[in-house]
Amino acid sequence: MNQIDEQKLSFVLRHYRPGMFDTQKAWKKVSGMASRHPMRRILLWAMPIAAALIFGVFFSWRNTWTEYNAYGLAQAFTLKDGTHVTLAPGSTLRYQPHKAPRRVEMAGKVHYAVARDEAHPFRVTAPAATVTVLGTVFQVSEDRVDVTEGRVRVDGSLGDGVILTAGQSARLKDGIPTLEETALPNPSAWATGVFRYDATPLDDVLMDLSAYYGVSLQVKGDSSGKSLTGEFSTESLDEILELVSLALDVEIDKQ
Amino acid sequence: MLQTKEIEALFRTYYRPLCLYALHYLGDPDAVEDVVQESYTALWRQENPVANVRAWLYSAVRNRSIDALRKSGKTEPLPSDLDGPISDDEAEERSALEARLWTAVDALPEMRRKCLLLAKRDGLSYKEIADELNISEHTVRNHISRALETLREGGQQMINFIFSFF
Repeated sequence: MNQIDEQKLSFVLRHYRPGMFDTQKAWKKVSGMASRHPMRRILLWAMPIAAALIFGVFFSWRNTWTEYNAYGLAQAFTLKDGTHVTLAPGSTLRYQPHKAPRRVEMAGKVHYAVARDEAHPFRVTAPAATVTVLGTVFQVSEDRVDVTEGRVRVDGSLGDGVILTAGQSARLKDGIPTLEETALPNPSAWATGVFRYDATPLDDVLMDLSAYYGVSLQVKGDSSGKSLTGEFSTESLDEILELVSLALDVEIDKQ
Repeated sequence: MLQTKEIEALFRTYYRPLCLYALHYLGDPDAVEDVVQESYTALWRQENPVANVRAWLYSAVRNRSIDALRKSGKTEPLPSDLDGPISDDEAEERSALEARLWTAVDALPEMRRKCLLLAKRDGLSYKEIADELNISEHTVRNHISRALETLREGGQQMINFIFSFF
């Protein structure tokens, strides 16, 4: 062994430590660390797929429909924007709470107390009409729209739309909404549970109650000039009739 | 990019030589392995093909070693031997045989290696080693001479092995 080799040997011996510079061990460490590296490559093509999945999930979540149904009884629900809806028996309402919280589709009869939001009109699409409002109380059914508070615009499938204000109703005939002169005072009593009268002529009160309970109500004698103010629960017709009879001193015949 | 198998082959061929090469720069075996392993990891991450992988690895280890030395405050990071500075080329050239010697030391029988290291690394006299290991001075001398014989043979074989390529 020549001089330079002795130098090499001395250098090695000076620094030697058992178990050091162990190729096997080091390889395990580096390949273990780098085994994450192929993951990076997987990520390169996995990322767009994952992104697409996330977008897909996001959009399908956004597009999710929430549907409400009322079967045997009227049922009340609160929508995402705070609007209260009451569905008459047999009615359905659906909307996309994440995509369009103020656009609902419905069938049957639904009473709305719309949360006010000037920037986002609330739109009801019913089989016969589209109703657009900002924040009011109204009711939409298959053939009519009744407004209790505020203003609504009703568009049928034909003709010009009409604007209804509180107390007004529109009937939908052949896709054309027309203002109805003889509107019932409490078209939404089924939903609110209350008959509300404010100097309402007795004949109108009886028409209202007749429509609600499906009975025929007649005043015995003269009803002209008599009007009613007050609130009555929808729970018992007989109780209402008794109160009205007492208040107005009339006799009412129920058939 | 290099495949795992290719990297593993490069690891088996150059890991220990690169460690010895880095040791000439850093002088501290503890600091060496991180530098070399990082260099391999960097090679692995190379997106572009590397023409001369061996040269690439040596320069990666060199740059990392110099960085490490600069960080620890050395203004002129040079490779060195026990006797003083050597050239980078020399460090690179020596590293292959030194790696081979390192492997040969690994392979020595336990007692021979212990005696050898106590003498050559730690600078103990034969007497001191004999006392430390509870053996006779004669046995110590015997172990060391046998060990050196093996290493020199190993070194010689290595040189023959190298020449057989030409």
